[in-house]
Amino acid sequence: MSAPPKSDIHVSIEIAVPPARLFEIFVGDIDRWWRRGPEYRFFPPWEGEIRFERNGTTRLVHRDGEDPARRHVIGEVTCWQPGERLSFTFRLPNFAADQETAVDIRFTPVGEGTRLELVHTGWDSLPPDHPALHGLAGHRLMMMKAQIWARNFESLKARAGDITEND
Amino acid sequence: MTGQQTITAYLIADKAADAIDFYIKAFGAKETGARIAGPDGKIGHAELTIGGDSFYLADEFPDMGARSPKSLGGSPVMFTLQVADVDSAMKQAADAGAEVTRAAEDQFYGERSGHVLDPFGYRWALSQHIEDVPPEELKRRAAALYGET
Repeated sequence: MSAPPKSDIHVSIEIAVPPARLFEIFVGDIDRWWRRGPEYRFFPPWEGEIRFERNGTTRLVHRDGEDPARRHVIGEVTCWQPGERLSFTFRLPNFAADQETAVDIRFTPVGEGTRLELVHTGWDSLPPDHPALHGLAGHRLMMMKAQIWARNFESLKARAGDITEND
Repeated sequence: MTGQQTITAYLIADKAADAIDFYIKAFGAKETGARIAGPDGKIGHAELTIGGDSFYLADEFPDMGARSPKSLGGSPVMFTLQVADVDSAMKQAADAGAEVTRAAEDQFYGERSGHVLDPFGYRWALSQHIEDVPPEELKRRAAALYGET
């Protein structure tokens, strides 16, 4: 069996909110916890709205706050199991039509809370000179991409804490 | 990074996942930030908090200059932990697997402290404030211990 690509990303965090409630917050409040700025959002001014849209399929979309027609489809949901698992394809605006990566997130109960575990694969399928890789590969690429998810998950943790304080 | 500190220690450990478990058991640490790992399970970044102060931790990545005390042959850095009860804190650390390198004893400057070496090569001084020592008394005790300078 060959070794998994060195750029596969694993990010995990424990959040003191039960899986079903955390899943609701994850998908329903995503625009509030998904950080703003050029590292996190997909087109300038790096704000707009991140949301899941259902229309036959379910898509994760970043759309402009002023002009909803201006949008980037981040990916299509491939697994939607509330309180357990969420998977979707993941594309950056500079991806070609046949290029995509994949995100898989598990919600595992830990005591009264949840261990959120994300695996993001597929970065190694891009050509080495792809601008999304910033000239990096292997561990360095993994760390750069993983930091973005880590900061987002820490933001989710803070947001989930604020929301459930008032539940 | 969840912490707001100006300076934060970044520990490199052989088997960082085990080190996280150890610091939780030994010092009551909490893993507060998101944990980043590679496909081989090696931890690229983790954040722990003890008593409100954070530190970071990762596995060894020698090609990136991240080497642990085990491969360097030790660490010249000592961390200090201020605790409410140094004797029970020393016992908790030892029970978790730390080696006691200096038993807790009262110090002339008003602390009761002891030292442990953790299984990952880092030294920790555990200290409990037991007495406010006025400057003149501190001077007198130091002179008694070390002689007039």
